[in-house]
Amino acid sequence: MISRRTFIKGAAGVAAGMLASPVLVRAQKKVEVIRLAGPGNASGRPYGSGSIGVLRALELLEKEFEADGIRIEWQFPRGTGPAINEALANGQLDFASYGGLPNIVGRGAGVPTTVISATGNSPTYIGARPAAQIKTIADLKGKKVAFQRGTIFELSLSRILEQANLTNSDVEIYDLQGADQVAAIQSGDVDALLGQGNTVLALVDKGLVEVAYSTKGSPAPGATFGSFTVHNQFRADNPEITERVLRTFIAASHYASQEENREKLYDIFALTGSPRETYVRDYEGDALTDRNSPLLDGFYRANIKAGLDFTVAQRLVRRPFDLDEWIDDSLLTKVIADLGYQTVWNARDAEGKKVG
Amino acid sequence: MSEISYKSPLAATLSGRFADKAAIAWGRLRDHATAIALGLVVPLGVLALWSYAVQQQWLAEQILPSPLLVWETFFDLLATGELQRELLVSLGRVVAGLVAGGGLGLVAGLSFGLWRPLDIYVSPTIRAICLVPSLGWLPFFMLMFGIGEALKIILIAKTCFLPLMVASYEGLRNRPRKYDEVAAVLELPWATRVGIVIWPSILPSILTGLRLALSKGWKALILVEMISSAAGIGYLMMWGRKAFQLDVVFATIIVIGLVGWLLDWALLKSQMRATGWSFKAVG
Repeated sequence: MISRRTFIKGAAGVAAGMLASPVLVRAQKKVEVIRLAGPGNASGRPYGSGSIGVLRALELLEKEFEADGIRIEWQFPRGTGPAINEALANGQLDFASYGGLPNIVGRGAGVPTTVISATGNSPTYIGARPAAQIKTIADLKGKKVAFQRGTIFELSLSRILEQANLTNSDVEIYDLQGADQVAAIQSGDVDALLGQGNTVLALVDKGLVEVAYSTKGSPAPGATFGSFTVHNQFRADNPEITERVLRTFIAASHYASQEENREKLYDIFALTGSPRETYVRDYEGDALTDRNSPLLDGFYRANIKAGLDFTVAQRLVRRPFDLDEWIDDSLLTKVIADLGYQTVWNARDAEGKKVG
Repeated sequence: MSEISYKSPLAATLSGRFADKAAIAWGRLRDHATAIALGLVVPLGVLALWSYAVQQQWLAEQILPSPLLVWETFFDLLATGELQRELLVSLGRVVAGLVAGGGLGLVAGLSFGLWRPLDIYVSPTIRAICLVPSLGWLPFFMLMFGIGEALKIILIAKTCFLPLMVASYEGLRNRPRKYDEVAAVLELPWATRVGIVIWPSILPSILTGLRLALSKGWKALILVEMISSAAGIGYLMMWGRKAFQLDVVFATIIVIGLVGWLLDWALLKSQMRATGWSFKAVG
């Protein structure tokens, strides 16, 4: 039996060998399909929100690769980030856009990915049962909080609670999926839930919860962030296709950042099955360029760094890894320059303030 | 008997009876050892295949962790006390569910068996309700009972109900009539008849039902803990998956299997002790 260490070394050696001889590997097979994934939604419809939602709904990739005879395959698993990690590890995916925490956990477990773009930010909302009397973050102490575990909300909760000097172990966490969260709130088994606008605001409209706290309107810690990653094997085998996929993704980010597209964006996001109205309110007053920025800037890196520290402290990641090696902005910089989009998005510093 | 050959001359001279007993004990020990060794053949084969699959990298190491890593994780979970804590929570739930559901099932089965109108009017409905799988009831139960302890215990109780109901009912219906005839001939009083004739005659069937109920309840528990829970061995397994630590998942799968098997084995042993005569009668 070989030890894990030698096994990893061997695997790393094989991977390094493949990276070293891309020409040889590239010649072996022609790409017939590009497989992408984004976080799924409660209704199970194969659509998303944000840049990946635009990319999917406008079928930009399908058009880009039509002439090459390359098919595009989409997955929006309900298991969101953790399920995407499994698919990536199994070699069933080439690209994925998903939340920062499962992203880090996957890389920490050795899933061979590279971050080639950010996917933007979204506010996190805490919806509380009116009877639970939760008005401030500190009120959450000892309360039952529901969200889908292993997702970015794990980190969001921690960063929100730390503002009131609390940690995740000060609340009772219930690992529930969408529909079950609603049932639990209804029956009073759970006091609060954590989610993005489309889920929490929909429950507000039904009168089930009130927004006790949200990171909306500020780069407050706890907002969700995500990465667009590529499987290293795919990138090594198909550098040109990887660049074209990223270029198309950035085109989608650009579309999602133009104010004149705002109403169309809501229509696109509503394809996920969440009420359109929830997206309207979630995006209200926010600059689209802030929400859908693909930049791997100081803000993104600070968020990822906080995520890595958290996952290591929680033993979700057993060995820290080199973030600078994982986050590769060389291709992104090139693509943005090629498209002439250098001034579309403002880079932000670690605190989320615009620089330059 | 081959055990004879193990008799030492000294033992033979001391006491034949003692030597016989020792020989029987030795024989039993050897039988046990053989049984254990034979039982381990398949698990060891699986382990070998698993190691080979890892070595050959049939699957990504994140999907199929090495047995060694799972072993280390298992001890890690033991050392931190996490495994014991979650296991205790789960066992508490399954016992509560078994007592509540099994007890009701026993009462229902005996009532149906003893009172004909109840059997005709009520029993079909109850059976139909029970035949909807627990997973099918889950969404409704969640809305009814929430996601707290009540849900888990009710779901396990529901699962344990049917095996015991059927077992006690069938036990009552299928027991040999000659027992009653003998009791009638001896003109035994009612209480004595129940105590030494009826109850012992249906006990084997009930204990078999109890074993079935426990193993089904254990499976239902893991299921419900995976779906809605903040503690328990099923939750630990689900958490391992969310954290993308498949070694935790594998370690808990093995623990769930072993504990389930141990529970069944312990019940079988006590069943043999309590109603050994029924096994002998069959053999």
